[in-house]
Amino acid sequence: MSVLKLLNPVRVRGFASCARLYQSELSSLKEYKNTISTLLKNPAHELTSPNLVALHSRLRLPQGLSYSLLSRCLTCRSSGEVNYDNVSLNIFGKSLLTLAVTSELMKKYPRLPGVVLNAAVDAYINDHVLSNVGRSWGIEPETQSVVDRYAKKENVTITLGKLRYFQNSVDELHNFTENNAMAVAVRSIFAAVYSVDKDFNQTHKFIADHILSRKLDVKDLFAFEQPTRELAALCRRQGLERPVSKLLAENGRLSKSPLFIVGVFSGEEKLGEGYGSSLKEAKARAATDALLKWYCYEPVHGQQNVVIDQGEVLV
Amino acid sequence: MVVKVLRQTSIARNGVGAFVLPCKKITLQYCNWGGSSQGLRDFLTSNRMIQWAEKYPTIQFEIVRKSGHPVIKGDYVNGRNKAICVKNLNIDNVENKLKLIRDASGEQLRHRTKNDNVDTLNDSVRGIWSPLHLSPAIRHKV
Amino acid sequence: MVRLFSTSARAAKDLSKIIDKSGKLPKIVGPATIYNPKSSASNYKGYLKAKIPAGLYYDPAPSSIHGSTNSETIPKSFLPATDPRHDIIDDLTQGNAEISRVAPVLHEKGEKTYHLKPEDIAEIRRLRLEDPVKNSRKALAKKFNCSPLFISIVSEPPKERKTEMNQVLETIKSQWHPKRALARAERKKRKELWYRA
Repeated sequence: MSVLKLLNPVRVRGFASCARLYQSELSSLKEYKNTISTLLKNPAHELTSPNLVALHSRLRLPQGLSYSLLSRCLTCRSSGEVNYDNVSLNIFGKSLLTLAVTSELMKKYPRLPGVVLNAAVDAYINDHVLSNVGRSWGIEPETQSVVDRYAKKENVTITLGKLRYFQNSVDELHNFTENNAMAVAVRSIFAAVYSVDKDFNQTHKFIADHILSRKLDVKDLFAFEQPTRELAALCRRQGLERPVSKLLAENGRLSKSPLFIVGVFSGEEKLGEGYGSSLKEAKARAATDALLKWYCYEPVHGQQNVVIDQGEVLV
Repeated sequence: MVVKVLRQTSIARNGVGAFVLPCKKITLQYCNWGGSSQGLRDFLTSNRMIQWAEKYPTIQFEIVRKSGHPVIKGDYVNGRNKAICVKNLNIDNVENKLKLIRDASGEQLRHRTKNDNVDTLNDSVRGIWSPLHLSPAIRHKV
Repeated sequence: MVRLFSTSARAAKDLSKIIDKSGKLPKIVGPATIYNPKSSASNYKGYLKAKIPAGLYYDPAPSSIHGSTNSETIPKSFLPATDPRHDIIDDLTQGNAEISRVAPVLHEKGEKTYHLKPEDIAEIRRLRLEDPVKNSRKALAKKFNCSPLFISIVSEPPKERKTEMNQVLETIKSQWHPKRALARAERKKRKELWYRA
């Protein structure tokens, strides 16, 4: 009496006597499906989905955040749930994350050029990162169709604790992958935390704990084109003496593997230092190093009047 | 444009900020009939199972009745799982295996070679030692 | 006991060679060994550490500052006026002033002369557009007493000349042996790494 036979209309038409049996099965399947929507949309109804409860406590979400809202965060519009999905939460969550991450980065690195700042924000909150965050929170995607779940007699509430983003017919046109859905759900959870927050502090702490705690070396974002010219322009703008490259040490100049250490000096002050197997390379690296020391400047904790710099140096 | 950008991705550091226990689900599978499940059955009927469930709300527990030897299986956030057969183990040993499942990170176990002790995302604070940067006072003279 | 006594006495004596207290910050200048400050390799007693009293010392890292952006390596003139690290950085970078006086300059650059007038620039542009073969960068640089780089900054050759030269370059590149082509491609990739952290 497998329900899967339902999907084969030829079989149903061929056996008229069985059709009535299938009809009753179909109605109970519909009922099964409706129960999910009813449970989801009724906030008064206390959900007791085991994975939803576990997720709630795993993230130490505030008590005011109901399981129903959390389940809504996990329900994407593509899952076919009508009028109760995470689209609006996602939009708000994205803005929240951008606000928190951008302000924190600008406080920490006040001199990052615009493009680098953009890339740094992106490195914290792009879809790929957020989907990994979702996985590290233990969110599982729902991979079974309703019919399969019904056939296995799975508890209705289980699916409410999973990431629901696909209908029985996967519509490839939308190009909505599991990664996208996971990122949407994660952003929605941040918005949901804000919705029960009295002020921004709790949400900010939540974002700091889960997103800003990630490791990013901003130095790795830079790729210069003409560092020596850019450094000269920077020194001119800041009123420093013209940068001069000087040879600090060398080893095996006439050998197969020479090594040169070059420092770039402004007056008597060393701005940067580079190494290389040719003088050219060492000079370029020294200028790159000096520029990184400028752009990646970090004010100390509690410093007053943190600079927001004039921006990048244009040659 | 003078500064070009290389796309990077931030790396997760579980425990810096929030800590999420990597073990997300534990499945305890026992047989109602077989003698090898006696220890696990004792564990499930004793107060310990309830204590575990109360102590670890972040873990989803699932209890499955299935014939065969008893198995404890952990599912981890990295998508891997770890299954341990607890046949013929007494209640204390079952609990020890459960602790092992709870504490595992889900990563595949591997042997660390000698001196492979440091695993870090950070740059060295004092940099890489260089003979050309050593103070001239103590530099080795040929 | 006697040996212990003598050891501690020696340690006390040798500390002056290890710690330099002349500056604002006490600085560790030598290896903290008490027997053989030059090398401990031939010492049958092994490497014995001197007893340095507890406290704060400046012990500069024997490594390149390349790629580090911490408080110890950031240049003073890159700090804004409100930064409290202003006061300490001079102590950390004492030696740099002398090094900058002694170290040879890579490319001696004379003072900039600024001797070309706007009319000269217009003349350079005209000449280059007129006959790019005869008036090459090198020839113009010699004629106007400036560098070829300056010529390339202020003027451009005609478009046809550019495409022609590019075609010549493409032809040469297409005749390269695969090994040479690979080597050149790798050299280009290596060079891109110069401009990264």
